[in-house]
Amino acid sequence: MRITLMIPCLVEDCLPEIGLAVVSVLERLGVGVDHPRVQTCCGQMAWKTGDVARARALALRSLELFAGPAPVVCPSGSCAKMLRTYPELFAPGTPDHARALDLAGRVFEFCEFVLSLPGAPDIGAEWNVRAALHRSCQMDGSDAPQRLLSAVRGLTLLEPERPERCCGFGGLFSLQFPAVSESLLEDKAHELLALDPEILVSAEPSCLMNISGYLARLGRPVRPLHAAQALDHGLDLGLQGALTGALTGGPTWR
Amino acid sequence: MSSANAREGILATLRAGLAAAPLSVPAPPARPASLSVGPDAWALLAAVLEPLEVRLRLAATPAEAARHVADIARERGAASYARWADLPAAAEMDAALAGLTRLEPNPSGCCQALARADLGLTFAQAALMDSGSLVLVAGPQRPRSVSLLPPTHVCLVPRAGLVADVSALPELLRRHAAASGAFPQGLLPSCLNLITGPSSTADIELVLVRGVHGPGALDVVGLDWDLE
Amino acid sequence: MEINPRDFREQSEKACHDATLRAVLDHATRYFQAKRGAALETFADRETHFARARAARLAALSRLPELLEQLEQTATAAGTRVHWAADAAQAREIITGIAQDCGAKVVVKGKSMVTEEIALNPALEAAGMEVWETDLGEFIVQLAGEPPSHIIAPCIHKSRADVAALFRAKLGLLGLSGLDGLPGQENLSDAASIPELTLLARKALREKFLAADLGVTGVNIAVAETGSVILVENEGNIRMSTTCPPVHVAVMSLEKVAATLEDAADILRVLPRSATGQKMSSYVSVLTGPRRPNEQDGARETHLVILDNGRSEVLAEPILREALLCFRCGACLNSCPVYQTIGGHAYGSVYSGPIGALLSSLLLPAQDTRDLPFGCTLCGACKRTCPLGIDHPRLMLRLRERVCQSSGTGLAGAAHSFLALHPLFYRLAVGAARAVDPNLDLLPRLPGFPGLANFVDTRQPPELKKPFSAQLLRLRKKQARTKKPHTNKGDA
Repeated sequence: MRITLMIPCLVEDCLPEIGLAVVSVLERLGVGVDHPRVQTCCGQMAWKTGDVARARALALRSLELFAGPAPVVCPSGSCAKMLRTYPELFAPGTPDHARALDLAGRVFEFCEFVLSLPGAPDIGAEWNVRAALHRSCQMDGSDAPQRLLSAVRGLTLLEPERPERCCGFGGLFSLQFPAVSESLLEDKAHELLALDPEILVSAEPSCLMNISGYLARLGRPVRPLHAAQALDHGLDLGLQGALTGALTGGPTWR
Repeated sequence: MSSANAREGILATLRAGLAAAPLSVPAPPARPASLSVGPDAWALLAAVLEPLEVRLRLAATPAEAARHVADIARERGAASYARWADLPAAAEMDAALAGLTRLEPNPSGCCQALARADLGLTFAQAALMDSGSLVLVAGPQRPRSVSLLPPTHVCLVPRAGLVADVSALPELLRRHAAASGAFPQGLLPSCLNLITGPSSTADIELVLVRGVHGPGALDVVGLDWDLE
Repeated sequence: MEINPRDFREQSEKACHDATLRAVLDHATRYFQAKRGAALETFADRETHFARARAARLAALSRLPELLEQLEQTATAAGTRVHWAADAAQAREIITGIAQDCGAKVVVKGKSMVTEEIALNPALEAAGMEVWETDLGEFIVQLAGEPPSHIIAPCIHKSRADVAALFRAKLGLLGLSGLDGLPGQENLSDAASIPELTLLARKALREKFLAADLGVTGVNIAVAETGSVILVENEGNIRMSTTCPPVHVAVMSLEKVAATLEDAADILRVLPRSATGQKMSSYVSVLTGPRRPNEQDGARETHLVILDNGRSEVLAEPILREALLCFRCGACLNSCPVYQTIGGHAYGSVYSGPIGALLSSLLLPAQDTRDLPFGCTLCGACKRTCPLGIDHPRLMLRLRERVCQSSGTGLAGAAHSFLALHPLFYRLAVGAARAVDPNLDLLPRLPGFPGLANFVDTRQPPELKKPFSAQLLRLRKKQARTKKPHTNKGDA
């Protein structure tokens, strides 16, 4: 099986290690990965500022990049959701609408996709670690990250008091309402720190950036990992059959 | 702009809106089955009333019902009462409450008169087992304020009035409308109240307080015999 | 207090620095969510009931003009006088006229969002009437001269000591007598218990109910089939307002109609559970016309005011008209992280929280509400909570689109989209940024990126690294050389 990889702009230039972990996990699970170049932005930013015309223009670009029939896998709940939103941008009955519908039907968030593979949720990963999970409201209620991480042997999955609560990022929101955004983030950070985790895991890179950046400024850094990175490292350890070993990879935030 | 012009303008805008963007309504799922009213109906009602701090007392005879009402009046320290005129076992009730002053509603100042009563005695057409709601229908002999102004409300509930939930209400209202031949067809009673527990508020610091504007105490007497 | 959603951004930024407010909101929203959760847990076939309530509301919208005409006819047949108001001013005029015709001196009001929306109280007061809010929470905020802060708990922002101080200062103005058995309001202590305070309000308002010439309420559901209005409450003040005064005016926003009693019953199964976590509210009144011959109480004269105030225009908007489904249970407020943090006043309108941002944007002048749909993280907690299935985030996006159409996205947004559409320039721009400022210390602080400076003050920004695509390419080359089946870490 081959999939087409959709890489969010944040991952492309700031968190490339997430993309590499995705490739590593998928290939180890026997999935071939194609990565069409040059990807920029799925249009989420324009869509969420209400700029539908530009969102549509960017969507057309994505429709070219991700022309079928392979499944499209994306390590971000919100970008995957944006791709699923494309049909709303085109008039029903038009060829573009048909292409958008076709794409929307083939888009998978990374964890959802891994969960659909044979053998999942136990993919042979192993990691003796206390992991705090941020579910991310952008996952639309999907429990795929929980199910995958729970199946990692040795991993203690910790969830904050209000697991579904927003971390306050909201893209544009964090810029227009900085104090409110920070208040939400403060709540989230305290609930996560109360779990005394060794790592912070999420399937949403933007939430991960928001929360870990705040924890770093607080002076309470917790290593932030995308679910793909946690699984990738777990696969390393699972293969080695060892529970020790220094952590490699993962974003290092100064 | 006059109210009549407003009417035409509003209706025209609404019609134009629906014509431009028709709204189709998918068929809703079937209404879930209601609780069945069986021999344990009184027990179910008592269980749902209990967390509302409402006690259900069962009476097998009019005399027993009257004794319950007298007990309640004594426990609540009532010195006066008002009641609906056409209650079941009305004579027994008056006899049992002989030590209390009975206040009569007078049409000119019904509320003023009843505001002085310590206890109001009414009769429910029905009770909803799902929620513990009492269904009171106002009428010529049945002022609304008897269940509202006194600090204690005592309501008689007949065995035949036990129904599952609020979905039984339309049927009950229509039956009532059909029976009241004096009015144009289909006209409902002027006032139907669902009463579910005492008057309550949690507006200050979310602390529950019983008895804000309506009665702080509600007692139910179940009439466990066949009324004619 | 003059309120306007124009100041929403400023007010919300201010509100979240108010530690007391945040603590109160945290307590209140958790309390309501817990109560609601417990009530729904024991609600068998919940989703089916929700779907039926939604269908009842949708059916009403889909036949709104004919149902309103039917309602007019049935209500008139029952003896109610029906009035139509295109806007707030007309509604005020109609109601003030009714009040003057019946010579009203004292007016009692049941809690109603819609009479707040039309600013009825000042109009009646200007006509020389004494107007009393009678819901305890509304009464308290009225005495304080503040707008309500929550759809179902108007004064959650006030402590018992606040209320005691308020009663001490203001209850004397009511000219009360007969507060026997209670401390007089002038020496009410801050330590007065909540039941004591409640009893004091009960006695004060009881006199007003008995003296009132006119009762004004909102409408939860109006039944087209029967001409009835249905009112839902817990305190009994709405029953008092419709039972004691000789005249009752019910004010409904026009979407509150239901076709049949069955539809109304389907709504009643859901509304109290979702609003206050009760199986049924303490009092549900189904009122049909004035009191009948030989009846001893209840209003002798009943009026129904059908208010549009911008709603009819919304019906043509396929996405936005979903907001008209709302029956004001308030659950979305309690679930919203933004509302939990800033409370209701910041929204600058009667309607707050997610549904409030939507309704205000639809009903108030566009230039006053442009920030409202942006004060939302699109997290969807509201949508998940709404028993009627309103997709608030989708509506927010549609409203953002409207704002964008009228005033554009700004330079930064336009530049981002331009670059994203021109991959070569995009790569050049990011490459240049990485060369000059890999740690993003400087760029966010440049003028032209409003908000970014603050963002990086509170959050350490990520670094600009060697792009994923370049790293992958190098990896592929390495793989080709070694034929290694899978990748391993790149150089982060």
